[in-house]
Amino acid sequence: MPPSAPLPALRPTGLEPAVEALAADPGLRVLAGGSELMVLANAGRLRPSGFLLIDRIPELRGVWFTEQEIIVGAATTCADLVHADVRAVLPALAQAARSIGSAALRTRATVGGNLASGKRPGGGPAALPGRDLLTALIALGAVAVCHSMAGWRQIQVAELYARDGGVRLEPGELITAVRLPAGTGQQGFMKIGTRGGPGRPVLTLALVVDPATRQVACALGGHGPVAARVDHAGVWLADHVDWDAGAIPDPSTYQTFARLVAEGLLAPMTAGPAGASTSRVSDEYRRQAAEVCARRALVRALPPSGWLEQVKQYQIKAEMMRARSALERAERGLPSAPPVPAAGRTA
Amino acid sequence: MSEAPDHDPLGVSGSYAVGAGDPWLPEGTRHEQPADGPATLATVPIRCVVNGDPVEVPQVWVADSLLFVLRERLGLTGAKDGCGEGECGACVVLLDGEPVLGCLTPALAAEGSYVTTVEAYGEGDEVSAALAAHCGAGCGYCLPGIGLSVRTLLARQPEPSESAIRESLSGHLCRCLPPGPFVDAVREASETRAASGLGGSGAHEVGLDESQSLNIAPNPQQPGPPQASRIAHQAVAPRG
Ligand SMILES: Cc1cc2nc3c(=O)[nH]c(=O)nc-3n(C[C@H](O)[C@H](O)[C@H](O)COP(=O)(O)OP(=O)(O)OC[C@H]3O[C@@H](n4cnc5c(N)ncnc54)[C@H](O)[C@@H]3O)c2cc1C
Ligand code: FES
Ligand code: FES
Repeated sequence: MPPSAPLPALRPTGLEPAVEALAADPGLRVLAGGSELMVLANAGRLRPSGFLLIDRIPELRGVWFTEQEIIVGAATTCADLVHADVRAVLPALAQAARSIGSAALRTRATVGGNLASGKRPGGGPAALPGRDLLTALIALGAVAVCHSMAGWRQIQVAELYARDGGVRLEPGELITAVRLPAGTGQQGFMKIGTRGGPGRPVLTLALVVDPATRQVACALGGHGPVAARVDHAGVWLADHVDWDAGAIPDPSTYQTFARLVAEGLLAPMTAGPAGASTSRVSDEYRRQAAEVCARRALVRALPPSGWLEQVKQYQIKAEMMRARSALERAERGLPSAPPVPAAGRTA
Repeated sequence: MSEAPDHDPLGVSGSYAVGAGDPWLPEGTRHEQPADGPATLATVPIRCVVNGDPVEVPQVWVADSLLFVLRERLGLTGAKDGCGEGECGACVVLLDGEPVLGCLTPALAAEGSYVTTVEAYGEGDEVSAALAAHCGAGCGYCLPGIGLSVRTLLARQPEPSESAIRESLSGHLCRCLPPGPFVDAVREASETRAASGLGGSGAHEVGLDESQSLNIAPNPQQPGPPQASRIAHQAVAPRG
């Protein structure tokens, strides 16, 4: 017999029960950390008929390191991502996580909540969505894994958003994880806010260099609801790096790259209609901010010479991490399989 | 009434009407009725251990914050309601040893967990003493939250660097004093602890240091410190 009244609060300890509950009661609101939803509830702008808490589902929280990829569970908190292991192999993501709110906010704010924050397509005007992780995830080439009773869906994180910036999640769908190709530590994340402390950005920038494939990806965010890649700058830079020697021979490369990145602000963005920007600064300020961030990020990721050694170090670290992480999972009885469809799981 | 599914650890307690007859809801101050919202609020009972005492709070609205329940339902007014939007840090409490913003943590999330507020720390606590000594010129509104963040910091890094101290203070707004006195207070507390051989392991803190595993998926069976009997997550009987 089905329950006569919808359940006001569910806190399943497994993924499948969570997805079933969502399918059974469309009025349930997914609550991960609550750092966005509770602001609305406290202000009297949200009155849910029930919450589905996903903070006690072991397979949704944690980071899985495999040979080919790194999988981050959707209920992994920003505080988890600041951990030394993540800093070592995904510095861009760790730095982005560390820039979010305060330490006491990061213990609850999650990856999934960050991606799913803000409005749904066609919904009313968004409160400023907090999507700083998105900038890093887009540069990292992350794939979002979504799960509902209808099955699994995997798409590039950027594709999760409609043109107006709304999150395109199907009814009853949960984000379970993001999958990232295992790269190296030649990465950086920069954020400029309106003040020195934690807070919302006027600009975020993520730079991800992959010496193995000789590719550079750069993404800008904070200027609108959805971050976007600036491909032309990355492509240009890849041609101006001496990959064999581990050097950038021409010192003017840094400034030219910075200028190209800043031009990306002018390109039509996936950010949606003009004026949708969360702008609190002038366009010129933001352009200069982008230039400065791009130059600094590049100097740190690829100094003029000598970074081949670093690349090797990162590879060794990543190797160690994989071994240790699998061991610890087994020891502590944590789920060994990440929350992704079985076919895509790697041993 | 059917049985609640076994993954419903919170049970079902029904709902109560908004407005007239609310046993405790200060009318018009919170939870104003949005035009399109339902006429009743969904509620559940919450059980947790607060400062070592097991408590059960009936009829908690699903979107009630932990801060609201601590202050208005349990009378623990140490954590302050500064902004209600995560900006000020006056509401910081510990949930299973982790600092959280009380205002943005749903009370539901405390079900079966250990909550620690400033009231847990009595006379002679070195963090309280150092804050009183250095920051006594201010009004004190921000201190309970700052104190808990500082205790977490010292539990993990008994001798924190200045930048670590400043980072731990950065989520706390103080309208009376500049950061300097707080930094001094943290240093003094760290020194007092070292001198007394405490080394930063206060009674109510569960430190997570950097060398610890990243695989911190919470184990629902044993999240808290073993200082009082645990309430099992799955053991709340459905009502009605
Ligand atoms: C003071 C303050 C400062 C902040 N600063 C920043 C900042 O600097 N940068 C930034 O990016 N953000 C910031 N935020 C926003 C927010 O904290 C983050 O976006 C956070 O990551 C949200 O995660 P959560 O788990 O708390 O989300 P919740 O509030 O639990 O959920 C947010 C939304 O996502 C949905 N959701 C959550 N998890 C899933 C899932 N797995 N699948 C499907 N839907 C899901 C929920 O239903 C809800 O609609 C700030 C917020 C506050 C209050
Ligand atoms: S009251 Fe919670 S941060 Fe201000
Ligand atoms: S002492 Fe008054 S707010 Fe900090």
